[in-house]
Amino acid sequence: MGRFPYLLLPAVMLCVVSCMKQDADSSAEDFDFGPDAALFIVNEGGFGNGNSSLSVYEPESGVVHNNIFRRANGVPLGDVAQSMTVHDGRGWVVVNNSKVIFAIGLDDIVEKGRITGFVSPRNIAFVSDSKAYVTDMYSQSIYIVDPRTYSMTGTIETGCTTEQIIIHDGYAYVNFWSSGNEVLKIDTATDKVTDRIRTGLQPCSMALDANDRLWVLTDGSAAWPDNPAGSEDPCLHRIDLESFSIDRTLHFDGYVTTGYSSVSRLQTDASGRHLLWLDGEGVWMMDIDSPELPDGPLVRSGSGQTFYSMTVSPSDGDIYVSDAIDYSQNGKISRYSADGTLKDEFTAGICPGAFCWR
Amino acid sequence: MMSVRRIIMSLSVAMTVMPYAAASRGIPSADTSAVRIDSASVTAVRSLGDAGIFATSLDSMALKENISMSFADVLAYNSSVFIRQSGRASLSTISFRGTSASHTQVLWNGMEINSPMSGMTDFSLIPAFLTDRAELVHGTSSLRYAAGGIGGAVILGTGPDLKEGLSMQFIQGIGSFLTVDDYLRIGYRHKGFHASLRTVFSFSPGRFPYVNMDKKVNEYDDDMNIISSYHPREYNENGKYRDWHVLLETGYDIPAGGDIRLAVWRLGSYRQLPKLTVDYSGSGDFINEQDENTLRAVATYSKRAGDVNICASAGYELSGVSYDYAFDAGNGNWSSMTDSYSRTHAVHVKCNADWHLSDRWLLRSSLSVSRQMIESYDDVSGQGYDAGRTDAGLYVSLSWKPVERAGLTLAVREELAGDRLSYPIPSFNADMLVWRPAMLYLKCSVARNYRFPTMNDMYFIPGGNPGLRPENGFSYDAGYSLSKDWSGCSVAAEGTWFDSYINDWIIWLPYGNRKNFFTPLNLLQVHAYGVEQEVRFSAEFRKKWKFSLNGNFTWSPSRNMSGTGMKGDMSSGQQLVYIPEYCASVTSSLSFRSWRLLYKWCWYSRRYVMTSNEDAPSGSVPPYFMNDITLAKSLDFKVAEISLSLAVRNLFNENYVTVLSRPMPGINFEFFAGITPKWNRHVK
Repeated sequence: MGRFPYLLLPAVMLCVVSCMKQDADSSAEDFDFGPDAALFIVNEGGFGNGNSSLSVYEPESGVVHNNIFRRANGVPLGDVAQSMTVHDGRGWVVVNNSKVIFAIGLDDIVEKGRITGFVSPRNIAFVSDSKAYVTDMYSQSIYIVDPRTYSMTGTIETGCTTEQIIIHDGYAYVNFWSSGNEVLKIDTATDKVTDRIRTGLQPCSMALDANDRLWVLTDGSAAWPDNPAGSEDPCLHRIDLESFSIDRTLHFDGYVTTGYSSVSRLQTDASGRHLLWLDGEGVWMMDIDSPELPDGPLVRSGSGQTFYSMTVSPSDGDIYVSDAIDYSQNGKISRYSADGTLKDEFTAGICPGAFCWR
Repeated sequence: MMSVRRIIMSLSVAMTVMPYAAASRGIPSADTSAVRIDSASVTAVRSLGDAGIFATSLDSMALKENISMSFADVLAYNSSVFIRQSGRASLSTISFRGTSASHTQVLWNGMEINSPMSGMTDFSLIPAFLTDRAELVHGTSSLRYAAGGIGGAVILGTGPDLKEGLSMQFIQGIGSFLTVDDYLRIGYRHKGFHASLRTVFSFSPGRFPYVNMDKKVNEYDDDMNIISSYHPREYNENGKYRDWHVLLETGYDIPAGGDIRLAVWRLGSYRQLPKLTVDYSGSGDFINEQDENTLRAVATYSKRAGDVNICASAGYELSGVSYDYAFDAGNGNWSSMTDSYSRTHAVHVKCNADWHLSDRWLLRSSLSVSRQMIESYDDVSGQGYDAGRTDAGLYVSLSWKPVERAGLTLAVREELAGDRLSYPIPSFNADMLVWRPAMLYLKCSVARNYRFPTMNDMYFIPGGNPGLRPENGFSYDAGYSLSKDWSGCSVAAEGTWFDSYINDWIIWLPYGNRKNFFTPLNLLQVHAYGVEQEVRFSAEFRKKWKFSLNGNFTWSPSRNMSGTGMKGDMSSGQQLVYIPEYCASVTSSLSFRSWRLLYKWCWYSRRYVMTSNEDAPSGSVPPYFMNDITLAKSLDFKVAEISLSLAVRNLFNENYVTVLSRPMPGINFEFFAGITPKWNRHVK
């Protein structure tokens, strides 16, 4: 038996090195950002990895703070953060594949509450302090939630999946994007669908201009000719909200035949007089009264660069575009002035997919 | 015995300071039965055709040291390869030398079983109980068996029971989380004829508790202000699995030399895919599950005629996999995200011939032809693909022993994939015995490597890219092996330095105009290099005590040298995602009479999730150690042998993850009881 202490020694030493120290990331950091931290960036992360994140950018100083949700709350934001909306001094972050909406403080980024019970939530829009709508990509209903109690209070049957919401003058306008071709009109007093209008294939985004006309951009699934729902050239519709009818359509010719990148991210500038959108060539801008589409992009994407998302500053008109690079590393944000001059570049999180102004 | 002490002490230090390595050729390890096993001898005599081959054999005891293990678990503790898995009955893939799972070729009884769609094999679907022989062939040494094994190959085989007459073994396992395992083997052998039937059944709800560090539960006051929060103790939801396997083997040993064999393996697997730790949905409002049914059959004829060994085999595989991912959209409606199925038919024919031209010359050749037919469809998106491809491979090698101590092999392989012909794939291997007392060999190899894109790479909708080029490059290996036995002790070690350059490495990306879906591209140049080390030691004292220790260590930087070429890309020069730079494992056993204690330990360094190698919690998986222990006892009665064992996994109840956002169980137990009737006591 005298030899056995030596024989057991390796096992004992293995036990010593077997104690594991995990990354200490559950402690919370204190933030107090203030109004300078004006631009929130929602980073999707990689699907199934649970590594979405939230960044905030201070336009005046050019300082960016990354991964602030995890740092403030000690837990990750979740899987595939989709969008963020500010209402009543709080940020409401929709985390698609975690099926949750977090309410956070805009200064301390600390969670104030959460709403659950969704299938695949995409966007939240507020009707009032006590009512908000949540769209869902895999449910044929819009969820009605009460932000005060963080609870779901009802649904609106739509007969289709839903994406973006614009609320104006007592009505909510919602697009049926994924394999769809409709814009729905919902009475926010009765929570009923009162009308629907047919558009081109896959209306991906909408914007309200200075004349209270609704612009709808369809991507036509142009970059995916095998889509069972079909494939066609994108188009830009203008909808008169009084009559809820399309009064003008501009066509993007040649996108299907050339396999050109789909258009996306339609929005207006601060004046509401210009429309902006993205495609594979860059950032495009058009006057709302222009009779035809512009000849060339305002900002041309560089070699090896693909713009993924975009926002326009409501204060100075600067244009921010994101590039997800390989979708598995931190993405880049480029900031351009309203005339398309590059002003700044900074790094956000993995796959910066949405922006939100304070 | 001072020298023995010094060796033990040296090993202890080595294993602690730098987790050392060892593969397990002839590991005397524990079984569910606690039968004393003689120390396995290390075979130091190389056959002529093995000159310069870098391979590790796992003996049958290592395969069955814990009967409930899948082959992936066995490799995790007994080899230098990296196993990526997120718990039992989850997709388990292995990677050699810093390459990806699809760079590992897998052969079962000579038939390639990598999915022609994904190019990978799920090792969690290969129970150790159904495997009798296993060999890991490192790097381009695998060219002898198949092309495409840039990382290496896993050669699996089954074999007949050597006992005459009727034999049986049944083992029942019951473990934590209501886990049930049943293993049955019935064998018969008489005058060269043999037949055996093996069945495996495993079931578990997989609903283990864990503290969810990725969530906090809030407590509110009446005004809906959060007053406190805590990490909840949750259950791994949707983790159920139910696997069953039936393996039938029969054959006849031809008295004049050679044999005929048939092996048929049928498996059925139903598995749920557990929820992420960051999923806030309820427990019963979704479906996420996979169902697989696979049949594999191989018929083999081997014959030795004079100086020529011939082996011909024909195999067939039919595999159907369905995947369903849906959510309860309310009001009794289910919203389906994916409802897909795939069906694969594959037919393989192979013929090998070894011609011993003389004592010093060996000519080896192999010709294989396979045909794969794939039907893949998703009911939700309404699309899929239906494609077929005929592949063929020709391999010719010439081995030469210029002197007794040295061997050289020059080989070339040619591959055909559909209408695409590979460049010639040459390889050169050599070894030399430099010090006979310790059987110290030096060896080296250089080879071209080559892998054709998989069927999904080329045809998957959306995103398939028929224009993909094959991955290709060169690999270099150099190493040593030694072994020494003396008075009840044996020490062996093997080490390899490897260096591979792979061009046109395929990755899937949303690229350019197609940013709505992923598409495979030949974007990267990868440099994978490093060191593999293995050490094994065993000793016997006073014929009552036996001790063995086996260690493995791998250092495998696998660098993306080119980056993607995209603006702002920070991936150039970084480690590939989910490939650890370091990994190690140790298996140690101590037996006394009919008792046996087995201790297993493995370690993986940080694995990056982001191509830019961020250390942040969302960008990497922390390093982890894992410890398992098994205590076994055998009871020998006149009519039967009874085996009892208790396996304890995650001994220190570590809270850890192997894949981001996938929970892993804490300490858990499984008790096994086995019976082996002694029906043939009169048979000699």
